Amino acid sequence: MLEWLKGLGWIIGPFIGWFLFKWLPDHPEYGEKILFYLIRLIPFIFSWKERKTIEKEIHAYITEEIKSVNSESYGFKILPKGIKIEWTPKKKEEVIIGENEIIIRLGSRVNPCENFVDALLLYLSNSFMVNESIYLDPSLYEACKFHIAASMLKNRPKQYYQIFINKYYKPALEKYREILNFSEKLETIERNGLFTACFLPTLSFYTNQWISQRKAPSAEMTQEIIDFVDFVFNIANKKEYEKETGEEPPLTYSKNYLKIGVILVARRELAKEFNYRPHLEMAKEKLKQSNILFIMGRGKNVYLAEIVALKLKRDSLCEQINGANKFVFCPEEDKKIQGICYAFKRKS
Amino acid sequence: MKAKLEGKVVIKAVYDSELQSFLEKLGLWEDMKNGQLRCSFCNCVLTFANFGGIYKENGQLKPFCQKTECYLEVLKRKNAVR
Repeated sequence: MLEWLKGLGWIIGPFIGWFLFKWLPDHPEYGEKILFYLIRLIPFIFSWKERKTIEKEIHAYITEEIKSVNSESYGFKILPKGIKIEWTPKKKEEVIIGENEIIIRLGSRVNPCENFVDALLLYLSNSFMVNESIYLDPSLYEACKFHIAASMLKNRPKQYYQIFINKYYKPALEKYREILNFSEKLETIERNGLFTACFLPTLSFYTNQWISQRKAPSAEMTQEIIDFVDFVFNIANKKEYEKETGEEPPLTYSKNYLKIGVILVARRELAKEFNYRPHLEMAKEKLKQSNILFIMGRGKNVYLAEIVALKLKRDSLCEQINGANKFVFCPEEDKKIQGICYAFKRKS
Repeated sequence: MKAKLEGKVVIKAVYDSELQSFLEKLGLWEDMKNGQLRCSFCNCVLTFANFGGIYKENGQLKPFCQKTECYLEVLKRKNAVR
């Protein structure tokens, strides 16, 4: 590439030299015009560069996050579409706005992060579980959308997340009070790493199945999904739940449509003594009654969960759904614990 | 396993330096200059500084301002339509 450019420079260079030092002094009447066009070109180049910077930032980062969300969700297409920024109007072309199409303004916002957040929210409105949302309560869908935006912004510089929370998330909660109930629970689920590890993949697993079976949405399905939020919330909030009720949160969710099992792998001594047999037997038993089973380990139990998943993978009745989801679990502020989650289904 | 993406969401956007020509093409520039263009949600007067975007509903162009509440309203309506 460099060699090729050098070669081009050797060919064009003498022409530019001849033009500037020979032709232009001989034809001064054209000099003024050329200068005029060059000056007009400067703001165009600056605006083009700025547009490209905004476009590149939005495209590169959101694309990366789409891949990360989908792969964290065991390959379920939580965000099935990519993103493309199209600037309008194009030269001399007529502006045509389709029905329900939105054209947003990007550029000199009070805070440049707003360009990014605006584009992200518009993208999520067009991509996040678009077809599957018919089975979801509208408020739950809205709350999920805000939480996926929050989890996508967590890896960006802090100001993006803060702008999102203060300028978008809080006003949204005030304006649409109905999403408040869900968002509080989803926040705990997300903080504990279960949002993309357990909650979203389950929704995608069932809703995609229902779409392919052409099942019409029903109030029962919607209610089961709403109750499933509580089920995951209680697992995420395990300590508090145990304090309040004096028992462990339920780890099997078995309703008419949704049948999910969860195993929180722990008790190293038991696993070692019986070569993981109690965990494996429980997993197989749960998988008989559930359509999807999650094997989870947190902190020092990550290693145990890895071994249980590896052994279960070899079982002829179990099928692992893609790879592991490695998440970070924050029980307290400034305290981060690693976690791992695997998803299994019955071998068909 | 990486899931393959099914197409792209095209985000249509207008850049500041092209805003005037964009509004001229839509026939809204004169209204903005005369202070007659208003946000479809909060009814504030739209100027070059606070114009947030535009969308079409029932064949009608609906401009909106840069306030978060108005932007969220646009997104909510878009979801409701779906």
